[in-house]
Amino acid sequence: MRLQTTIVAVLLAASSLALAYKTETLQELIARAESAKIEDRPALCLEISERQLKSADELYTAGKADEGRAAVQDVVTYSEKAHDAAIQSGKKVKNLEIAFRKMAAKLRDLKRSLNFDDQAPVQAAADRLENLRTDLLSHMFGKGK
Amino acid sequence: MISTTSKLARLVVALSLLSTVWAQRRRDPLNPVEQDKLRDAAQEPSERLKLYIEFSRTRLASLEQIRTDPKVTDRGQQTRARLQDFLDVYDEMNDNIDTFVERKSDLRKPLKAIIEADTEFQAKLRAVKSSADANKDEAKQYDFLLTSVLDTIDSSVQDHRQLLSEQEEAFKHKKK
Repeated sequence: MRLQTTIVAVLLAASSLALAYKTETLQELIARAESAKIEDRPALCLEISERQLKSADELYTAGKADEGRAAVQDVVTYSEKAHDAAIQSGKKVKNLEIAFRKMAAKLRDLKRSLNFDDQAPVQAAADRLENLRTDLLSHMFGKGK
Repeated sequence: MISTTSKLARLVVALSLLSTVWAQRRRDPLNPVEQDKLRDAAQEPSERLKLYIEFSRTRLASLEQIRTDPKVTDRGQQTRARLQDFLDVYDEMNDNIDTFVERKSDLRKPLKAIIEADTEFQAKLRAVKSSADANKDEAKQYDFLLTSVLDTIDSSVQDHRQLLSEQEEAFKHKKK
């Protein structure tokens, strides 16, 4: 009986931990990324970028262009941070290159759904991600891969 | 003097606008006609995804064309550019699939067409890979990208099959 109670307690603790992790707010995630070790930072910053890209899509769809633009700016900011940390630590370079490629594709698709006035910052973000990606590729080949 | 400065300023603005427009066109893997077609099919998952298959297929046809054209001198660079175009369109297709899955759209029909196209794309790109092995110097310019494209299709075909099986299960229960 005591064993069963312990197992249930452990399972409950594990699931609430998993739930807490899953529902981590953007601000909490940003705080975690800022204080993380350099080798953990690329993945965390990438997660922030991907979340903000999803938000940008939702915000533009909801007609909140200004907030959408701010979210797109976050995509660029945290992609740059992910890029810098990956170059510095040598971790997740290949993963990041693939993720940037896919995010740039999503940004281009998003851009085409917007009014002409809203398109330029989204195109600029896609271009910036392509530049970061090219830089990662140069870094990979520079290391003799 | 003011007039000259003003003319110069106008010229700079015009040139910068032109370069922006040109850059936007250059950086988008889809031409304006294709973009319009996609816009018209924005709410039709089946139509939209079929368009992406068609556009991907066009990119591969263009790749095959330059690979066999004896007049092409910079084949390595041209191959690389066309592979990148194909990959950009293919990535967008996958991104659209994710969006439609989130909206709980029925993708069974387009997924079958996509899986067939995946097999066709794999075969054509493997043929490029085989011919690349015969010309190593030229292949250096696009070998990494070609490997990335093949990796992307290999993993995507698994995802597409898995998704189709999930959708068949889900929509079977919905019918009841």
